[in-house]
Amino acid sequence: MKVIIGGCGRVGSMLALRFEAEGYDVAVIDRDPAVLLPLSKQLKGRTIRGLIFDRDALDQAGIAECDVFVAVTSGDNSNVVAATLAKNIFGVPQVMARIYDPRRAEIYRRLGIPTVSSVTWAVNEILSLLMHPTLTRDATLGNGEVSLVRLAVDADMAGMTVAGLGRAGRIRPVAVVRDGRAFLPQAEELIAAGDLVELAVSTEGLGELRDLTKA
Amino acid sequence: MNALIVGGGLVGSELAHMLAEAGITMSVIEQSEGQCDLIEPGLNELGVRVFCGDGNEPAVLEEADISNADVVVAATGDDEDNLVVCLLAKNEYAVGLTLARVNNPKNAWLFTEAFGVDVPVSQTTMIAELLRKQVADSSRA
Repeated sequence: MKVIIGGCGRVGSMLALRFEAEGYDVAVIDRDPAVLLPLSKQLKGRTIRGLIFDRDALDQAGIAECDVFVAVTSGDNSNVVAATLAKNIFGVPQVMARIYDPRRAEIYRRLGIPTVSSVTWAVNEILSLLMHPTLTRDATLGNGEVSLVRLAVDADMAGMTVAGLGRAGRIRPVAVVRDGRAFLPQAEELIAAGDLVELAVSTEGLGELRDLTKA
Repeated sequence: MNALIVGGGLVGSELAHMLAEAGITMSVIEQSEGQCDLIEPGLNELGVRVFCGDGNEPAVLEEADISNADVVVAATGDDEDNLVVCLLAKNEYAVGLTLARVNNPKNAWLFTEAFGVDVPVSQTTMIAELLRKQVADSSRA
């Protein structure tokens, strides 16, 4: 499988190394040779100097037989242009553009360009960490409709049953980690201080879970 | 006819002057406040409205009433910005005709309907064509 990464900032260079570790054939394009140089010492794949929508740079990177194209430069417009041409002109099966502006990210998604809105994601993440220190989001499923949330049980919550945490259709306790060992609990299992409870939570359920942990 | 020009630099603002004098209703979006201050008095006199803001931003395009524009001209100095203007104009706001300025001839291949561009305009290509024609004519003479 061949992947082209447009933009060699922190996200681009980490993606490149991770893809390569997964066995992908990686090529990275950036207009700044100074950011390509350090990566080229760690990466087996090619680093190419150029604009990420430049024909020569894309040809050199092997766009014609590329399976995945990711655009993560600091310029929203460059990312959109590159992702659009990868998808519509070169027919790359999987493309992704990182877009800072959330409103534009939504529009491009509608136009068929998959986007990651890193600003929205970071804001949600920071808010949820700062406002709810006992809750940690372990994973988000789909477009974030359901999250796996880890709840650190404190003395106030100890003694509740696992079923007592659940809310039909919104919060479902999945697993408990006690003394470093995870198990699937029965409904009547009592939770203890220090337990980590893993819960599947819908967006509507997040608010309820917060209220529950504050009480 | 309603026209919207994105990019109020030398090209965009001169174009606005010429078209306004030809009787076309017109708005211009320009990102730099300094440039807006520079072009606004002269253009306002001709009835052209100048909007200061990022012409790739849907909110700014909507403020300039892009949905009612018959023609959108993307005249900024950045090719990727011009492409995104046309992409949005065509796909999001159903604008009938889009013209885009090609700054770097190397990017000309992108200015197609894949990006919602109806008419690409490349100064370099036009000058090259004229010169080629001139040379051909003079060698024939």
